[in-house]
Amino acid sequence: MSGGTMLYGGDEIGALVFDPGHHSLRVGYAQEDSPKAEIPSVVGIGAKAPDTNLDPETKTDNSVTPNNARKYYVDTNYVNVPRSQMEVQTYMKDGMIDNWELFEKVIDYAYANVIQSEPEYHPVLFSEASWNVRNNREKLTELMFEKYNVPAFFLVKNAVLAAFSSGRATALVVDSGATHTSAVPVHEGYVLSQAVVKSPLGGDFLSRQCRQHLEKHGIDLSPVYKIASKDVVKERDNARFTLRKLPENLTQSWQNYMTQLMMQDFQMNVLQVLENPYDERVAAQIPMVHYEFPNGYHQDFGSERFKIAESLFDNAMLGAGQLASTSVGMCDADVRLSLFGSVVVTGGNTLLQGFPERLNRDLQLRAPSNTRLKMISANGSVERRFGAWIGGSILASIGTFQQMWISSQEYEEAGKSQVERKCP
Amino acid sequence: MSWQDYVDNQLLASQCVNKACIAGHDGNIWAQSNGFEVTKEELAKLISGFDQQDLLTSNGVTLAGQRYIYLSGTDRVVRAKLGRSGVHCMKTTQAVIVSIYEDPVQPQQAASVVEKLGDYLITCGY
Repeated sequence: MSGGTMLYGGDEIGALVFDPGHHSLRVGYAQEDSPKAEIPSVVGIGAKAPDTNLDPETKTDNSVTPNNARKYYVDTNYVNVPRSQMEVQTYMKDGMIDNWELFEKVIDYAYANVIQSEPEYHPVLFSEASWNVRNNREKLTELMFEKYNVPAFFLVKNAVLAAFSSGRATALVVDSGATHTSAVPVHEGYVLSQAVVKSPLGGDFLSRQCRQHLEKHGIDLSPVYKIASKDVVKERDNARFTLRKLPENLTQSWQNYMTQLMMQDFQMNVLQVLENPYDERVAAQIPMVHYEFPNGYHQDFGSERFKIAESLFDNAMLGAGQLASTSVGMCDADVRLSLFGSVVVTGGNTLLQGFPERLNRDLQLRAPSNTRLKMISANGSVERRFGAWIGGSILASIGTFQQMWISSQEYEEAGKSQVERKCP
Repeated sequence: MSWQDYVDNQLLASQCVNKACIAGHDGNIWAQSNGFEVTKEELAKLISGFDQQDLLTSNGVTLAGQRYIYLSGTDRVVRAKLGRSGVHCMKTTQAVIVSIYEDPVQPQQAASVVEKLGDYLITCGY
């Protein structure tokens, strides 16, 4: 059995759970009910410049010539500050880790500032996309064992973890996150990888739609960092505010990032999905929602709230309900009933008001007439945003799981391909 | 070592595999464990599924009359499950190793054993 070199002191497993996503990297300790930190999945990259001061917030890369060291800024406190020539870049692509250099910077930050302990003392559980490729899995395994010297490692598909967090081993996991919405069938704790269906419609897509809509209506979208002070204005009046003095050369990527954050706030507070397909008259009857922008402009929003959110569901092929039913259709006939009987809704984007109800209705329409459809969507926002992380926390604490870790000894004997065998 | 030795002393003896069989790419059985009544037709269907996964996704993997639900696979490996027991198969240069594991064996344990043997056979040219 594996783990021969490790001592498991009963309750003190001390495992860490990492859940990388496009919106953020969730990191924390197993056995806890929420992650310790949620680090945005972007890194601020400073310009190449000689620096001789001891800036405590920067992490320079290990280059031989310190004069050319670039500064990297990780986490909200450092990225959200206006800085001259700081580019903002994400290390994720298509649900998987793409830029390993930046990713390492974030992991370094996590160990130094969140965990505040040496990597070699804690077994590490990572979540991965249900469509992750072999190369990436092996690369991650190699990185954790070689660079961080972790004592034990394991990789689980995030859909499986989301199912576990709802107490199920068999479920159809509908995960709507920042960049993707996907339907992944899980059977007895294993993903039926041939039936995974995904679409690029997620939270970021909605943010872009919101931005387009607001710009079309001529609403000024100045983010918070530009505002020094603002006046109270009447509804729909032009905003009156004074600009803050900002450093020069603020990069376009950083400005876009800050605007996107502002759009996410608007999206969270204003958008809603109707239970039935969009109907102008029905939407007009629902009370409006009032929203104030950082620059002081404010107005009520009515039917456009529903029209924008509708884009997640009305697409013939990529709508959320269609994804789920296509996925079930691609599965073995024997499991379809059990999949319809446990549909787990997870992901931050599903917190959109009305999402689970609409998904329920769409699935009911597409499922065979007498199937018993049951949807599980956690009520709290924490459980849905951190569904995969919580599943990881549960899994890493179970007694029977402790024999399944890939230990550093096993890694040394069998190499990085061991991950393909032990983490299907 | 005879093929039967491989089945009994390598696969079953590890305690991570409950039933096993080694067959050629055409489905001809070279060795099988006691009580494992898999037929040549079932094996032939399984083997063609390595290259065409669609055959297995809709109909599952049937071995010894028992139908397992296909989970995932590559052109070398096929995984299937039914409840607490499951199937792990590996294709080598000339043969196919088919294994069935049952509770309380974990899929990863069976996978490790089967793939280690498979890699060894590949180095031997089988």
